[in-house]
Amino acid sequence: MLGTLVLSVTPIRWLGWLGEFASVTRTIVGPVSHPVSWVGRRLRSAPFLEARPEALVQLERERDHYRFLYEQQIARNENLLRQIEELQKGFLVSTDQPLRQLTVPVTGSSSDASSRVLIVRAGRAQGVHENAVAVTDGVQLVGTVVRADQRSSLVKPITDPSAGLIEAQVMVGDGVGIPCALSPQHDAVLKGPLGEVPSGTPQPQIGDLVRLRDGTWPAHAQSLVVGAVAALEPSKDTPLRLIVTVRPTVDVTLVSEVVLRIIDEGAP
Amino acid sequence: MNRFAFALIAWLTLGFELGLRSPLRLQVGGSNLSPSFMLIAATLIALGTTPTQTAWACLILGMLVDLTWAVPVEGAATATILGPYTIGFVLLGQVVLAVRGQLIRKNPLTLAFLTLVGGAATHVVVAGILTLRSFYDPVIWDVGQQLVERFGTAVYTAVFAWLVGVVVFWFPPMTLVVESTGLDFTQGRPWGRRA
Repeated sequence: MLGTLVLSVTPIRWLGWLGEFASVTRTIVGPVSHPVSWVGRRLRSAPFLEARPEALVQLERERDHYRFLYEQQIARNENLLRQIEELQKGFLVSTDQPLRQLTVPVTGSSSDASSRVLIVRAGRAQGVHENAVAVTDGVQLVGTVVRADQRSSLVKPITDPSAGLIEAQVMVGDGVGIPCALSPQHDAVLKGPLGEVPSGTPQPQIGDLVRLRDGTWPAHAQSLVVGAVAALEPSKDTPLRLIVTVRPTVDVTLVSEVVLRIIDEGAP
Repeated sequence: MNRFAFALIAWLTLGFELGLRSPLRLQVGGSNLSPSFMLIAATLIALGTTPTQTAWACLILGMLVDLTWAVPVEGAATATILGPYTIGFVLLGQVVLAVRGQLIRKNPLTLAFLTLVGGAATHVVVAGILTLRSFYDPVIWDVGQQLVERFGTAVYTAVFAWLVGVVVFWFPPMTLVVESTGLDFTQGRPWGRRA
């Protein structure tokens, strides 16, 4: 008990060794938490209540996927133009890294409600690394891997209050976006100031898609969907500026499986 | 209480804890409430075992919760801390031991009430330790928001405790299964007085 008292106030930088015990605990409890989580998440999302034809859902997914590829190509073109400029100036630019996608089940979440971290059943043994990007429905951004253990990993969703700022663009037209900086809120949405709307650009509307355009995220994650505009309101400090509220297209803490986009180090 | 049975209960309950935290989450205003099955298990065990067994059981259950809590820290990372829930659960056990003699043990309302009181005590300890840590560790911690959420969580957990109590105490086959693990819910003397 005395040891526990001491450990409870020991600085975090000296408690790294506890991570291995935590990993073993999550692995041992996985056979129970995974089926329970699967049933709970299926019941909570209740797709059978929506009664939408499977063919329609499939077509919508394909549409979203091709739109994502289109938006990503636009972003890639912009990036290539920037690289050409840098090459002309004589700078060394990094080349694209090989990408592998891994579908993994979500086996649970953190035991305390203050954290919305998801536990997924894939780890270093499957090639998962920290900062790997997790998506669902092909294009909806879920979050990033914040810890990769041997057999399991932790994914921090973009809506976790500790996830940090995300730079994105509200898509108001064909490849035209208005930049915004979004920070996660306690009610599972992201909120932040919208950049200036250039003249001649359509005004953003509720329901517009918001896509990732953040230099701190990997290139392959650019143009993934952060969510859709849920509200637009004038800023309290500067009424001429708009504050945008973005809600992910699915509740990213309730997904039963995610696709991890992994940089494949072993690829030629 | 049988050690093997305790290990089985702890394993299953932790599985439910990790598996159902998100699906059972309620959004009330800006607060996220989700029930804790480990709190219910600790209260149930403390209701039906000896003081020594209660202390050990609560210590182990608290450690398991601590180990599976990804504490949010600045940057993208998470951390593991051993202590807040361990101490909190031990306190919960002592609270239940102190008052269980005054209550009808085989009643779902007793389980709900003790889960509420013990859960609130546990969360006060957790909030206190994390608030202290926030002065020298990079934990992301808003004590006001956390206290509101944690008291809400204790109430939500108490509702689930009542449901668990109905199943455990009012369905004879389930009562037999639970009592076969060594838990004894026969009424003790108030405040442990001698006959």
